[in-house]
Amino acid sequence: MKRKEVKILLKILDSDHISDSEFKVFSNPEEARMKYAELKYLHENAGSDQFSFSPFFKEKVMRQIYEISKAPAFDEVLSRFMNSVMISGAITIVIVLLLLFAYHGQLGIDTLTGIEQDDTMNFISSLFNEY
Amino acid sequence: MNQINDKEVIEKVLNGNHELFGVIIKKYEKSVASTIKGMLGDCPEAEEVGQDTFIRCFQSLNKFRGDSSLKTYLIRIALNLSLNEIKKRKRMMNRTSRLEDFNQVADKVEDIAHERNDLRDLIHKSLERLEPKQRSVLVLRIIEGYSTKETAKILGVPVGTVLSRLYRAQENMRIILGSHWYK
Repeated sequence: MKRKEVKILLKILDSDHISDSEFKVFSNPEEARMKYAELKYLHENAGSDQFSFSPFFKEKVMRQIYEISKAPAFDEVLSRFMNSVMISGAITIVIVLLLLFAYHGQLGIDTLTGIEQDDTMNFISSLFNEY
Repeated sequence: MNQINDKEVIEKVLNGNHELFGVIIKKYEKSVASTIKGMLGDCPEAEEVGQDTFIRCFQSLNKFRGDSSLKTYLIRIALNLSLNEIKKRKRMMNRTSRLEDFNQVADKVEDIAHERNDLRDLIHKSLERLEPKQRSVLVLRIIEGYSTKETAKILGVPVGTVLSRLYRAQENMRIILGSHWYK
């Protein structure tokens, strides 16, 4: 049977009423009628409406969907974590700066690094006077 | 009409009304079940693949553009997951040397079906013996009743390929079913 003929055969498979004249377009009408009957036989005996999943299938799937939608996605968790780290980090820095300002009355490099101005000068001069 | 309804349901689900996804499950459960059971047989894995199908659909609902119907979209997911399951089974069989040869198992299953004289069971057990490509065409076109064009679209192959696979599948089914084939 030619591919074109199989195509026509599949087309008429969807029709409810098939007359004998429709098979005359085939080079071998008898073979076409047989093929059609075989396809119809498969379709009728293994039709789709006879299958379903176990009872409460819908409920099982919906429970999983509920759990999925309840659990936040990984990127969402990561961004929430990063936000909290950033906020607490920023607050700590502000508190440290305020404390340093309160103790030293200024916020220079020496205050931030914890080195006294005299120590810095001594260190620099020692570099030049050593030799 | 169906497509409009589906679109409305999808929109509402995407807007947070997840409960409404139950409508989609109820509407397409049978189609998904017959596709998966046609591919895998009536086994416990079929139900798992069925659940996975709907969950994947739910998770990718925002990517659904509506080019095809929701049913076609679901059947495509079901078919791909079934093919993955078949591959998994094959790998398991290759790894486990103690397992019986697949054909022997299939023969046994067929014997049971012969004994029960249940034609539907017999056809579905016979489907399991077809190679997956032929099986998927037969399930979609003949059992599910999709048009040849739709079958080609779901499988992502040309119409001509669907026709030739179907032709070969039909010939193989004739051999497998033997005396139970249409007379």
